Formats: sequence, structure tokens, C-alpha cells
Amino acid sequence: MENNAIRIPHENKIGLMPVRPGVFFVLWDFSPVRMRRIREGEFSEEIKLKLFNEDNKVCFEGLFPWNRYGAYISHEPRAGRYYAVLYVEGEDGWITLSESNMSLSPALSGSVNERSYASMEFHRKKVGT
Amino acid sequence: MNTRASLLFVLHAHLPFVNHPSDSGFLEENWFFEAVAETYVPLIRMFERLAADHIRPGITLSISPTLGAMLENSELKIKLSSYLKSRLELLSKEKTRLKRNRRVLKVVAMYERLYMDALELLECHDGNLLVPVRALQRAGQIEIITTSATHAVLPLLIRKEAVRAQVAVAAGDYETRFGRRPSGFWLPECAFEPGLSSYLRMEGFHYSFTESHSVEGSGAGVFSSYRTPNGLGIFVRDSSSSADVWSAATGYPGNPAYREFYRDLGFDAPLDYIRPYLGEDGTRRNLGIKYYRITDRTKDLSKRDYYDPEAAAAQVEKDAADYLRRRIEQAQAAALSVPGREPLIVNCYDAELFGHWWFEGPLFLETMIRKIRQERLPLRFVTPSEYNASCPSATEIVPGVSSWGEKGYFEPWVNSSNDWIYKGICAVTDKMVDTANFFKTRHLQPLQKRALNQAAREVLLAQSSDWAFLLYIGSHASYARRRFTDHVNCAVDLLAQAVGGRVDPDMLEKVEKKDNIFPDIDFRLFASPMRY
Repeated sequence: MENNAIRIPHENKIGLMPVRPGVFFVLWDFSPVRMRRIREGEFSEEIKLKLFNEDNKVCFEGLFPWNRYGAYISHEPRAGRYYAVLYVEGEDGWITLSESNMSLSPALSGSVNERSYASMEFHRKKVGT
Repeated sequence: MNTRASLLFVLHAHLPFVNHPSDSGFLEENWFFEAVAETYVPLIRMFERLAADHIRPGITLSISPTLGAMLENSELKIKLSSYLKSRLELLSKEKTRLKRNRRVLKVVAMYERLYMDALELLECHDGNLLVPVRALQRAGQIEIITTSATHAVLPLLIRKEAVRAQVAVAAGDYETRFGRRPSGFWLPECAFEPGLSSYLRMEGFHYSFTESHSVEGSGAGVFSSYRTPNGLGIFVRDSSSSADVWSAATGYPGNPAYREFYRDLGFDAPLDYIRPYLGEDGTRRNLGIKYYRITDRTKDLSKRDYYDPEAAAAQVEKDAADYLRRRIEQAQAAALSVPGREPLIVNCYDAELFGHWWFEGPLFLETMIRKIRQERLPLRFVTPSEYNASCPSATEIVPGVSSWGEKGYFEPWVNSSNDWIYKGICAVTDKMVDTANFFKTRHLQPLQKRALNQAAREVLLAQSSDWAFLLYIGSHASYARRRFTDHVNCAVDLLAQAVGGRVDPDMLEKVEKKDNIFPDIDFRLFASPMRY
């Protein structure tokens, strides 16, 4: 759920954050000018996200509504460095708008499911009771 | 013959920065009061008792900069004293109310000792618990380390300038508070990614800690220390031994003899009777006084027997003995995998688990440490610096991306309940970095500089892991939402005012008074490194 009470400066940007092996959270934003141009129909209301590995190979590609603040994207769970690129579609086709930071994806581990977070267990019990 | 092993115990003490100077009964300030009475004072007393008996605790205590600031906050000291006195007043009434119930009166007396002890220790040190903690470190009894400035999960910070600021502010804060540069860095939530070692080394840190699966697949075990290619010492948490304590299901804290955390006088006593001890809104809340033991966890909370301190202490003896026996067995098995080296077992816990959540936790630690001496067990408590000094040839390794959070990565802090905060963090951090770059070599008016420094504090506070976590577990979620929003909006406003050269002095003063952390901060820490 987005919080509309925060007053942030809007700029064209995209950020990439690791969540778990094979999943990143991508967040994006647009400058007020770009938002106006999308609203006025100069660009399509869907954006395209692509995820690249460090060899510049596409590992994910998908369309999302422009006015969301972020999305979870999946890729083959292989450890390494990745970056994302955001495209908008105009009259002349897709154009590159923003390129994200490089982010490291974790390696898949076999033992993580055997462990848990103690504080979380206590908190969860509290919430559940 | 038994193999000798080293036990490295890290207790990570952290609370989010909660300071509401104009408010007398903020619910969230109780986190601090309860943790002081139930965890920090009992731990300090335990360290002091051991030291007095010439038994060195050898425990590593991580104190977050936000907690350090709260422990030395003059207004919180006054409120803490009032809190403890109000609890003693309530317990005095309880002695009358419960005078026919001898079983509960024993527990009432126990709580009286607990709060009296806290009050006495605080009064002895002018309300500042860091005084005895500093003395313990100076005497070589414990080692104190720090963590990121506001407990930000560092791999989730997109701008590297923010990582640098979190680490540099923490190092400076530690030096101011403890009078020396810190050696060790606790990564919030044990969250590691290889790029962090450069930032830690840059600020002079010698070692840090990672979760056990960070070295999985590397062929390295968890019973040794390591170093990264740039020389950062790495201690790897042994999750299997930690589970003996951590697990609420199978760990020691779930024993039927131990105190039940979730049955509190604040929900049991008549409302009118306890009203003076509740907040201004008068709604029921935990008061920290709990008369019952776990008894049977499968049954409803109402089906609990009274707590018996002696029976709980007897159980602590058994659990401490069991824990040590398991470590000795573990060390023998580990010695086969690391021949020629003394196995190292690294245990890391949230400090508040000991005393606050697990009431008997401090006694468990003390019993364990005493048993090693009394029974001449082949175990020794070591601090990271001692271990590094005795074993200088650590194997080089690059640990993987990991955390100690649920499922081992970052899901508790990035999920559909809290992911909206990252757009705010990202935007306000970018603005802070851009503004710091713009002003870093410019002459500034005093008011402008104060506004920029306060904006830096607000950005750091917005980056705290606590807001995402509270939103995730749904506990104090509205408070977390408001705090996060306030910090972001405040930073945005201050940066705009500084850039426009029109700083509102009243607004600035008000925020400086409330978010009065890191008094010596320099906003330039957010500037990008120079490129040549």
C-alpha cells in the first residue's frame, strides 16, 4: 500500500533491490514533466522493464502500469550482478528512460529454510494472539 | 580427551530512536523502559557480579547508535526514573491487593527487586547506563561494538553514499561515546553483501559477522574465522547452536517453568485499578509485570499456573548444563573438520531476547559462564579481538549475500506490506546526496548548515530497518508509518529550505529538539566521492 502522505521530489529513476535468490524488487518514479506527458497520451500507460545480468543478457522482460511504485521481478536464481532498465513507449517505439543501480542477487542456499528468526517468532505469536 | 573450543557470544542491543520530549506517555517509549529494566540492567549486573568473582564474561555487546543516544538522553532518563518508580508504586499496591496469595507475593517481591535494582544502578550513575558499560570494556571484561547509524539494512540501500554515511556516522558516534575507535561492526539483521567490506574497512573496522549460509558452498565451515580479500575479519554465526536458544518452539525459552511473556498484569487487573499506570488514552497495555509461567503452550493463555522463581532457576541450571554439553559435543565433531585448529562457535542474539522476552536469559548466561569455570569445562568465552589476536591466519573468503532474517535474505524488510517505503527512501536519499554534492565546498550560513545537518539526521532515521519490520509484523504499524513519513517529509522540507536559502528557524529548532541524535553530524558525509 502506497503512502500518499509522503512528499517526495519526483524524478525519472529506477532502483533495484535484492529480495531473495531469483527475485528483485524494482522501484521507479517519473519527473512531473514525464508524468504529465504520459497522462496526456504522449507515451503509453505501460512501461517496460528489462533485467540484465553483468554480461548484458536479458534475464527478465515485462510490462507494468506506469503509475505503480514498484514490482517484483523473477529471474533464474543465479548469484551475480544485475541491473534493470526502464523503457517508455512513444510514437517512435520504446525508448530508454532510466537505468538502475547494479545489485547483487544472492545464491540459493539449501539450509535457510531450516532456520528462523527468533524475534520474529515471538512477535508473530504476539500478533497472532 | 575433550577438545577445547572457543565460544564467541554477541548480544546485539538495539531499539529504534524513540524520543517524544513534549509528550509524557508515549507507548513506544515503553520499549526502552522495559528493555532497560529487564535486559540492560540485569546484563550489566551479571557482568559486574562475574567480574567481582574474577570470572571474565568475555561477551561482545553491540550497542546501536540509536540505543546509545537514548541511554544518554536527559529527558528519557527522567522518564525512565518515573517509569520505574511508578512500577514500584503499583507493586506496593499489589502487596495489599494480593496479600492472601503467597505464591504471587513471591513474584511481586521478585519484580520489586528487579525495579529497585534498576533504579539503584541508574541513580548510582546519574541515570546513564553507559557509564558502567564503558567501565566494563575498559577493564577488559567485555567488548563493545557498533552497528549502522540507524540500523539500516545496508544491502537494501541503493545509493552507496548512504552506506558510507551509515557506517561513518556509526564509527564517529562510537568514538564520541566510548572514547576509542570501534573494532567491530554488527551488520543490522546480519545482512551482508560483498561490497560492504570496503566501507567497513574504510572506517577502520576490523571485523564483522555473517549468517551461516553466507559461506555455504564455499567449502568453508562455520567453526573458523575468515577474512575478506581486503582484510575484514569475518565471524560466521552458527545457526544450529543458536537455535537452542532462538527457537520459540524447541529452544530453552519455551520451557513450562519459565515466565510467560504474553500474560501481563495490564490485561489481567481491573481497569480502574491500573488506570494510573496506563497511557493517557487509558487503554490496556503491557505493564511488564507478569505473574504466570508458560505451563503448557498448547493451551489458552488463561490456563497458566503462577510463576515460581525457584523452579525457574532450577530449570536454568539444567538448560545451561545441556547447552554446554551440546557445545562440547559440537566442538569434538568440528575438530575433525578443522584439524589442528581450536573450533570456534559463534552465537549471535538480539540482546533483548535475554531478560525482556526470555526473562531467565541473563541468569542462563551467568550460570553458563560460571559452570565453565567451576566445572573446568574445555570451553572458553572469547571476544573477536582476542580470537583474532590468537589466530591471525584466517582463511580468505568472500561471503555471499545473506541475512539472519526469516528465510535467510531480505523478505521481512521488502514485501507487499512495506515496500512502498523504498520509493521514499530512494527519493530522499538522492536529494540528500545531490544537495550535499552541491553544498560541500560552498560557504554556508549557520542556519543553512544546521538545516542540512538536520536533514542528514532525518534521512538516516528514515532508513532505519525498524519501520519496515514493524509494518511487516503489523505491530505498532501506524506508529512506524507516521515516523517514516515524518522523517522523509522533514528531510525534504529542510533540504528545500537550505537550497532556497530560506530556513525556518522555528521549525528547525523544533525538529532539532525532537530528533536530537548525532549532535556532531556533518551532512557532507552524504557527498559522493571525488572522481579524478
